[in-house]
Amino acid sequence: MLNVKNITVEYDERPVVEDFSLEMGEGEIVSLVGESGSGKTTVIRAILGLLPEGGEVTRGEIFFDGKSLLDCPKKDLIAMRGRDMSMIFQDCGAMIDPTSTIGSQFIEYIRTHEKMGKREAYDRAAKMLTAMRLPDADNVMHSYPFQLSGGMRQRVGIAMAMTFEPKLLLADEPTSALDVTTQGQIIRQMMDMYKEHKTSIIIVTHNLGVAAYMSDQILVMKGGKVVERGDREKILHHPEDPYTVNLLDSIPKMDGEVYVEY
Amino acid sequence: MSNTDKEVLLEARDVTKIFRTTKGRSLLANDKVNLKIYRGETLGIAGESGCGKSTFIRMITMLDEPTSGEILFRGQNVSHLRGEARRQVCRHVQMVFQDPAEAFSPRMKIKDIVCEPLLNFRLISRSQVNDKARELLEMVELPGEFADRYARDMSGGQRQRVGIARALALEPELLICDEVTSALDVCVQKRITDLLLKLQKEKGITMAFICHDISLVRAMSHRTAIMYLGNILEVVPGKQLGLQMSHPYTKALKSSLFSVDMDFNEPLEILESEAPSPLDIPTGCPFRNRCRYVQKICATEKPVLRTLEPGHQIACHLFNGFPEVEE
Repeated sequence: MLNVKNITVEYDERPVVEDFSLEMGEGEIVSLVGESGSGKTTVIRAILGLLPEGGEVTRGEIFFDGKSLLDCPKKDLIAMRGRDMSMIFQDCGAMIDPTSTIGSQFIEYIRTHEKMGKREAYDRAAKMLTAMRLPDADNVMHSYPFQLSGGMRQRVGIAMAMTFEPKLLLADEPTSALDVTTQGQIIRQMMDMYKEHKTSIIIVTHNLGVAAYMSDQILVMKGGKVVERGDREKILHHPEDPYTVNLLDSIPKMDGEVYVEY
Repeated sequence: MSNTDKEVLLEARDVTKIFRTTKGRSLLANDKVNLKIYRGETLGIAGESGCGKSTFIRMITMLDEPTSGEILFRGQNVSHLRGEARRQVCRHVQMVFQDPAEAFSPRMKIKDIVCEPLLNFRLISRSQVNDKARELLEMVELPGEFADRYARDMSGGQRQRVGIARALALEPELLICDEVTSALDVCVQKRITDLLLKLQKEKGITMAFICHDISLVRAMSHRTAIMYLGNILEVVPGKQLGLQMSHPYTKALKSSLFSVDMDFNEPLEILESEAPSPLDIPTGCPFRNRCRYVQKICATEKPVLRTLEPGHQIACHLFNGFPEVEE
């Protein structure tokens, strides 16, 4: 379904991702882990065709459903984004306009991609919000982003991203700004959505536990390169790259070593 | 060593903080918090956003005054100190902040940042800044040449080291670390916590380590306090956290962690709903509307801290058979 072949991404001729490849099938979950600056976010932005100013895929190819995304006319890409492919951000509150209500933006989003009356779009949006276990969808629709908690905003973001049942969902640190109990709720809901729609997901996270829980394939990145890839068993229990080993050792564990001396 | 032999460096007694909102409602940020910090030890404070941990440390660093209750530092009530008296106590209580990128003036050189507290207290003269800055940077394992750099030329981990150097410049007795590793990558986090532990051992500093990551707090602290909606629900030796009897909320926090050694086939046990607003705290136990063990009594009576065993206290009606903590 998605085939990324040896891409190199450069910002102003400075390579930030080198020789990145990823092949994933339908209904697969892949996670990208690694430290900040390792190029995780750049990879998913390149797939979406949303690299910031000065960023460019200089080598390699990206195929989505057999179509080359890099040669695709802009018009087709725009139609595809938000419909066949959608994205969840670290703080979905930052992606929505603070000066208009959730409802008006959700309705506008739906009507951009599908011919539909406002009333119908409203109902569809409210239905999505309810499916994300947001209590009182009507109230959320009439709220401004700042009136919602971080967890609620993230649910709104996921509800929007899932509206058209995309084939591919790109999630950039979707739970990093949240408290642990809220993180758990969001991850569980993403997994429920995944089971229902068989959406393929690429999740960028620095939390190896979240990556291991969700994914079929884990890619560990460092300095723009993939240093190790494999399934949960391989990465957690038989890591080969020294960076992966260091990463695993650095995570404090609930029943692990206590650093402080008694 | 039992708790009675240890010297109490800082003590919070029934500390309550109420903020008034613009609409005249009152927000109960801390509700009769009782906590002791013993000399040479690390007290960890864990809890989710809005639990009152930041309010609490603002009061123990004397940035805010409690609405009622008192804060004793070396036995002296410091909660309402003003002017020079306050300044003299503050020098013994220093703090490292969460985001080292925002904590420093972008126009100051590193040497001026780390030496500013010393100059403020006239402990060194201008001519000594270069040497002292080098010494402080070397203490936190940074090259002395960094003294002439600006904070923007450094990585997050390096900046956090500068934050530690500045906080330790006055050789404080109590170092408060507020989410000091939250903005850092996990490998860098480990290096910073290693540094803090090394410095604590060398200098015998007392620490308060505040963090939302309960597994990190556990690893860093001799005792951990779990906060929820302005209340202390449990105080437990780090080593025992989550192992034995624990507060239902502590259990819930523990089970919502995604850890690399969790059982991936078990269904997730996760708290439903969100914490109530501190403007609208439930009667009785603050945790009752999310607790799976809730009983009738939880709605009417607020549980008090009870001692389960030396050093381990829980405020929960499930443990009503144990003796109340004596003040």
